[in-house]
Amino acid sequence: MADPRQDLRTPYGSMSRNLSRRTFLGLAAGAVTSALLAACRREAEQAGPPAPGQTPGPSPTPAAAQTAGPSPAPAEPTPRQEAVRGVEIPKFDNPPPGRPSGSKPEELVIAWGVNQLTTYGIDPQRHVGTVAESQLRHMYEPLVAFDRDLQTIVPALATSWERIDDLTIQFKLRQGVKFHNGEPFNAEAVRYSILRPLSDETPGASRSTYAVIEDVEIIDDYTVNIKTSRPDPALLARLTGFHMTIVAPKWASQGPEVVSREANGTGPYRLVSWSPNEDLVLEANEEYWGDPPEIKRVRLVTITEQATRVSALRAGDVHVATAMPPEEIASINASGRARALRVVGNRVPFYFITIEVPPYNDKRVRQAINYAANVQGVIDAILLGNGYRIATVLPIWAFGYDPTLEPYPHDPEKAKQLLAEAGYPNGIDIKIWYIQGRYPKDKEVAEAMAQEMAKANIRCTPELREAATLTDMQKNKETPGLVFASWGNWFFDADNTFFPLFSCAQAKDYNFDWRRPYCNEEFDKIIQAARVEMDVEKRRQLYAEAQRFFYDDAGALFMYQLVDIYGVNNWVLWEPRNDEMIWAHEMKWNE
Amino acid sequence: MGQYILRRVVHAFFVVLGVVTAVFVITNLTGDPVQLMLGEAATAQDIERVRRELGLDRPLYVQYLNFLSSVARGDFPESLRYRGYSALEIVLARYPRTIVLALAALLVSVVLAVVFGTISAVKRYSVIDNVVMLLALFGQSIPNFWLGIMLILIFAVNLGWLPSQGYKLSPAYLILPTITLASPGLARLTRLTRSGMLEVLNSDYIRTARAKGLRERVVIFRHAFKNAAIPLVTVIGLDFGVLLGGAIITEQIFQWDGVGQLLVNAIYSRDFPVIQTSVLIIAVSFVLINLIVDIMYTWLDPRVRLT
Repeated sequence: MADPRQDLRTPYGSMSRNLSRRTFLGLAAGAVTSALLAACRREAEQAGPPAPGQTPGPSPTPAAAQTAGPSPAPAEPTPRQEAVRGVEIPKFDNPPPGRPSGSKPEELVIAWGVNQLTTYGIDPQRHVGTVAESQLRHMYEPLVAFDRDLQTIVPALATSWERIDDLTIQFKLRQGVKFHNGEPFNAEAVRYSILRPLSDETPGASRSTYAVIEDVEIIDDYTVNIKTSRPDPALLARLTGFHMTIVAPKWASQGPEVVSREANGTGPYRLVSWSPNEDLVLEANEEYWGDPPEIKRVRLVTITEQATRVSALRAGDVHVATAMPPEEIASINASGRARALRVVGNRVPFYFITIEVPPYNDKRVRQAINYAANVQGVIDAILLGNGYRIATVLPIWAFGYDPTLEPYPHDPEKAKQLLAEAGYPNGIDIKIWYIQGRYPKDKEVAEAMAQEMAKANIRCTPELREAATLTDMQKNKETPGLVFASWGNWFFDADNTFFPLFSCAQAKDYNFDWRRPYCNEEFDKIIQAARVEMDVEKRRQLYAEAQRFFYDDAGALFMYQLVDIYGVNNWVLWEPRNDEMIWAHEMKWNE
Repeated sequence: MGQYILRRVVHAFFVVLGVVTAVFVITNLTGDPVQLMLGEAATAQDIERVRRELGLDRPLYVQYLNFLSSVARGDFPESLRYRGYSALEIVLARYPRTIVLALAALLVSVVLAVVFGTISAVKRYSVIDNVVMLLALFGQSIPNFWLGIMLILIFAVNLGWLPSQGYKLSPAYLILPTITLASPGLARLTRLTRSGMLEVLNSDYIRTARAKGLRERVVIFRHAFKNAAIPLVTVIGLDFGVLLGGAIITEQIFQWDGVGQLLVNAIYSRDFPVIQTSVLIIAVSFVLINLIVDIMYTWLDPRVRLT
């Protein structure tokens, strides 16, 4: 069988998609058989993960055992991502690091395009931004974390865990760990930190995602029981997410003003300086419980202008730069100073469809839109192949992802036929509402899809709006048609996509306005059942069913996962992750 | 003079109040900051809670009066984007950078414009004049962002002489943004100096001065230039006012975190207190500079009386 990675090895990675999708699915179908094995493995994780060094359950491959090692194994990417959930992560054929030029940098500079350390400063427990999370996780750690495959949960501040009953997981904590200010890490710190973003005094921006956590019981100094109010099969994954990092309790109880301006975690780096809108400067924590990071001084900066970010990388002023434009890949690789590295990313852009108004209330119309939009063509032409087509809105590594579901093909004839069946033989006039500048070529993608749809008699008027204005219009139900949205499922579980975006409970929370226009009771029954299903295989089947339903109901315009493009200086050795986390402690100098 | 200034201050008060009111109404009409603040993962409940926390659920006129009364007490409201910091603190942290860049650009453009404009006028239709005018034409027609990016590519990426971006109080970091920011103003001022000088050089009193046998240098600098400078001062005053409002594009390209960038980001994120405070500070600066320009007229042209 052809290696699916082959397809990505074209100059701009414009993957010959028809082929790749087929080979990929071929592989995936093969993997269905191994899904049972994988399920057992997942069960092992859920029900009682390995003590350090101990191999979990019936492990499908030797390499999988390796991923469940005692520590998160910094900077050692697994050579081949194992199909833990029956899905292999496609890889790009990225260039190797070239010869570093000039003298070795004194500090590592990482540049993002946006600054998210705003509303809550550098408080690690209240924001919901991936950039903020990536930056603050240098200083703070959670109990458990996802390995690079985004499918295996590995120990961080907890060394092992065990599900005691449907409502409780017991965690054994790492001993001898100290916060940066010298406070000891113990059960008290865990209890304080987990409950802190759930409190009324210091609520996290996504508190309701974690509201299921009812209490943290201290069993002894290094043992806690985390209890939920209902059975939560995703609890362990949830604990890897936003808000769930551990802060020094005595220090943090001085109040949110202190936590938003200073930092005291257990992480591999400690804070040197930060103030609003200024660089975040870090130094290695030499007392780190794991291996202290090799790069000693790090500066995290924001360069909003894309062209400037590219120039700064090419000039050697920054060493790792995010969101490089696809058309600059060649010039970066030719610069002799840096290289462009690509990975399939976790962020999924898609379009909500306002299903309550005609003609969108007819599922055949919504299907027609999905057949007509030619998403793959748009990925190839506009993004130069830098998008990974998916069947619905779940990233391929999410628990519950169904690899056997094939994306809507581009089929304008079928679209016309569906429209005719729905009573629109002359086609329809629709609107597409979108924004500019948040994701690579978002505007161009929207406009190209609008043009493509016209070929199937879906006459689509592009309506570009500024982000805040669009949100307000959605709130006032002024955006009939397709409305841009995107989601980064941050603990890689189907629940964290379907529930917050497409459940009736959320639609109700949003007063049934068009910020969450999808509510379907039949679909809701499935995802609500999956939310509390403790049997891993049954839960997986429920989500497979949910995806099929949602796909058939064409609950949204389904698109792709972003491909993240990083510019990396030749002085830096680093394998980018798929989850948008950029961590200096996973990097090394190229000496 | 004292009375004049007092009257101008009263004037200024109403101008600033008018600007702040207009900005308050317009920004509040355009959208809700909370969803943006909290990010896409925030749920409806979380959004409602924060909206209440920030007092955004109160009627608009109550918010407006609250803002005015807190400003009057000198106790500026908290930024929505940078919680825990007063809007004034946020704005004042960035204002010096804008002032430094604006002053540098102003200095460069005024000095060069006066020198080249005067030479051009005195040596009309010479090679120098033609070259200067051609450059001025380029300076005025080249878009700022393009010039900035080109300068970065040449001097930072290819030659490696200067840093590509960033803010530090050192000449190296200041050079490229200053050139970028100064170029359109420089071009305009050069042309203005030239035409002003030409007009004056052709006037009767210059002929008289020359006829008296005054040295050319004295004729040009003491007699001609001082008179040609009046329209120049007006334009410089206006230009400087605009520069203090933040050179948005230049600041963006060079990641020079001044008021311009702050204001743009504040608008995108609907950080009302910061928008209003920035506008307040900028309006006050603008009014102040106008006042200074008016006072300078009396020195340049004794016929002007401020009454």
